[in-house]
Amino acid sequence: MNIDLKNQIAVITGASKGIGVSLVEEFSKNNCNIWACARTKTNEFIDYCKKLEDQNNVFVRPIFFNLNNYDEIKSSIDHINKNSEKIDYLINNAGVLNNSLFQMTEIENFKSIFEVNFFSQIYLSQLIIKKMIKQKRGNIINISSTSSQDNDFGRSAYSSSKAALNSISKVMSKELSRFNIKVNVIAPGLVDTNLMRDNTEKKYLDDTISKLNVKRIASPKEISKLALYLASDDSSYVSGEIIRIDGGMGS
Amino acid sequence: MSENLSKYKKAFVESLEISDEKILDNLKYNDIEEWDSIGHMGLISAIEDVFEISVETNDVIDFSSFSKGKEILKKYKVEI
Repeated sequence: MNIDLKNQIAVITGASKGIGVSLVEEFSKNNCNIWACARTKTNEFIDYCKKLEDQNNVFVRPIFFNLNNYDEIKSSIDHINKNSEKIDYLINNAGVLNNSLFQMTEIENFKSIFEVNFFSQIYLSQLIIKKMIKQKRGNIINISSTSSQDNDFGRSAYSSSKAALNSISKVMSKELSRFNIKVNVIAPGLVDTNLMRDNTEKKYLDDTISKLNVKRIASPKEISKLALYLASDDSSYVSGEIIRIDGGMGS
Repeated sequence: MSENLSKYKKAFVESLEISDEKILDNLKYNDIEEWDSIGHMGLISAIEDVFEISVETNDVIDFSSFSKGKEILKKYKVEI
């Protein structure tokens, strides 16, 4: 699938890991300029962004801030807003996963998961949306999870934080459509990332894969391709949707 | 009329599609159909744009009338 996003500008969070790395790669390959947001500054990630810039003749600017720190979010997004004449896409991809039974999860753990997966994303979105309202154009893609709908055993904090993200995305979609801003959600199932592998027991993983129609986990690239579709004009009538991409989980 | 007042009025007129500027001085949030919660977002956006400021969320909530807005903008060093 080749989609031309020439002269478009995306802000992608969680850009240095898992699905985020693939999102940055696929969007830059399709000529999109990118603000690649990550928590930890590493030479490896800076070099990776530079490589994509050179390969694709776009800008891929790494920017580092902690989603637990609202002052850092504000100053970073202010920097982006000041240095971009427009922002076409916001992809809220950053997320954290906690694996523990409901009764074994301390309230502080619930709060810290919600902080990154929900509250910080709301705050960041509000800052970016100001610019999109001025442009009277924008496209927001929130990366959720099938856990938000399947309510997986042992993932009370993660599942409920992603369910909250689904819900607010639908509200945002209704409120922001007047400004020509689309909001959609991608809810991936099992994706081959360190986050998933570090938090999923092999037995559970094998059992789940055996029940999938496609009998394998997804690559991050397969998720990015759906995001590309949502960024393209081909998806102009897709709004306020939660799109599962799960290989036929439970079907 | 000062330049800032002129800009301030223009932001209201254009974002809320107001045809008669005379109503502005006493205009309050929800007085007219166009200044509903969604219209409010467009208005704040227009004001941010024209004065090159970023209005904090608590001030967006407090911005309840044409005159209240003038007070709030003082915090952002915009005298009207």
